[in-house]
Amino acid sequence: MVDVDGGTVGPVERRADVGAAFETYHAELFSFLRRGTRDAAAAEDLLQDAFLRLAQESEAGRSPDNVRAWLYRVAANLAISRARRGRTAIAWMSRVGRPEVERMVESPEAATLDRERSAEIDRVLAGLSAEARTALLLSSEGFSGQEIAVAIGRSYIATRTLMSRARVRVREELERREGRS
Amino acid sequence: MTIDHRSFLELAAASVDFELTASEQVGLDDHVRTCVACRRRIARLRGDAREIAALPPFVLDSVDARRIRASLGRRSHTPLGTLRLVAIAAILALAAAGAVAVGAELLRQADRDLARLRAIEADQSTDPSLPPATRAGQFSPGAVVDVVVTGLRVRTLPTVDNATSAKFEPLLGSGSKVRIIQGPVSADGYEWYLIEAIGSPQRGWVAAGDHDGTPWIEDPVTRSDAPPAMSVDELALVEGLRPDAARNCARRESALPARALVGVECRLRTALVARVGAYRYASAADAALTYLERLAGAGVKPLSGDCSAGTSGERAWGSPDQGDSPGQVVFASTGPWSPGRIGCFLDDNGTANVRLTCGSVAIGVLGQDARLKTLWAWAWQPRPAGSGDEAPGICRGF
Repeated sequence: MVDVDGGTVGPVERRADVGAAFETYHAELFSFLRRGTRDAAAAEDLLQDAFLRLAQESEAGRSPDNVRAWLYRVAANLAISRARRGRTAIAWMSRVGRPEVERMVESPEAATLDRERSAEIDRVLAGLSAEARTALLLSSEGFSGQEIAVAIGRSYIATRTLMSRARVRVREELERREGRS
Repeated sequence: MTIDHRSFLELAAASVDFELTASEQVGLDDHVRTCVACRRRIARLRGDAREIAALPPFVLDSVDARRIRASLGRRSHTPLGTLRLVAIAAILALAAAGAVAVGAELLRQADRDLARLRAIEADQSTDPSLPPATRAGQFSPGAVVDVVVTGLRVRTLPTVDNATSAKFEPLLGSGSKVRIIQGPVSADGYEWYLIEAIGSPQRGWVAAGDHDGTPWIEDPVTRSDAPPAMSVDELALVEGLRPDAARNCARRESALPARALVGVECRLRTALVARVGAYRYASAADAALTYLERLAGAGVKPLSGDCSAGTSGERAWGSPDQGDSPGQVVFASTGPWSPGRIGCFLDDNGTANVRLTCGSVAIGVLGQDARLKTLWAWAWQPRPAGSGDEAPGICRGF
């Protein structure tokens, strides 16, 4: 909690390295996961998973050299894995007969974003596969093509093809929407 | 011969993240030289990459951040997918088929788990990483109260531990009415009540307020918007604020910022602004020095960045820093800096903050989300942000 006079109240450090990493990276990692999963609750869970894995690595004496890159790699994997599992769950829920499944996984932020250009881009990104969306979001966080390939577990060539087609698709979809409006 | 424009577009797209081979680069350059339409599309494609990188961040609620942070210490995490699916499935069943029994079973399960929860509560009450419990009002079973916060979470159990308590969707909106069934139960630093939402199938546990006492549910009968008694100096602070910022103000009772003599805080709870604080100092120099210290704590140096463009930064308003206006301050061997200043930053929770000084008064504006640029413009109203050398609109009464 941050007060308007700037005072901060936070939990006591239990594991200095993981705690410091959480304070430094949790905000950007949550945003990455939230956009990647399109589900605030899932993003929270995956954020927790990523940092718990970091804690496990730290306890095992395997602290990564580049914590930020490591966290993004783990988060990307978690988001992609969840998307693969999620296809089954969404299909099951849709059979129950409730049409608002998509609305249920959207958070209130969507209402605000609807008024802005970024909402359009978010919608276009949402139309991509989880792998393609995650790859583009990793790129926007400054990771190179080679790093992204490692993060999403694909070959260099396959990642290049995936990302270049995704970028073209984003452009074409934005042009289609711009034309329509 | 047909030219495959799309393959060149994909090549250009690949160049955003990957190095092209020499032959690929030459081929692309040759094509772009002769294809005006491709040149335009490629420029836009690269612009798309920049726009994706500039998308506004999603902000994690501070309560959830604290809960996750605390869980790293407890290391009691278990997968939640199944638990959440059960909760969602229960709501689906309630809504689609009116199968109240499903919800009732869920709550019976919740009741059975309460004994386990109390053990968790006892364990966490000695956890120094958790903040003290809130005392945000007491409600009796049967009372109908209002939700006074945007997006109140309803859970299957009174705890923020996701390994134990699943989250219901959707959140309850501000203005929703809920009936108190049971409570309060203290856990994780919150006072929890079992509620049922009037007019919806939502039934579960909600926290009554934030750790700092900000209520999330309130009794409409006993609620009063009248500010508590204030001293003359505190009232002067409220009266000096712009009218739309001087709402729901109360004296600052907890520790004041360094050097501050008195302070008030106003809980606006609008879509953009959570709170506004105003603090009186003995001098403009004291106010400016405390302000510069706070900005430095957020990593913002004097005369840096550009809040009007949505990036953290700060600058003088009124007298320029090069002048010899009274009250200039030297900070960390830099300066002298003019005492009239305004700046912005994202705090540890990724929430937008605007800070400024108005003579011997310092003002802090805490936003609801990460919109720095919008919050900064709000502080300047009614004039366009940063126009001229006049004081930002929010402190024109000082």
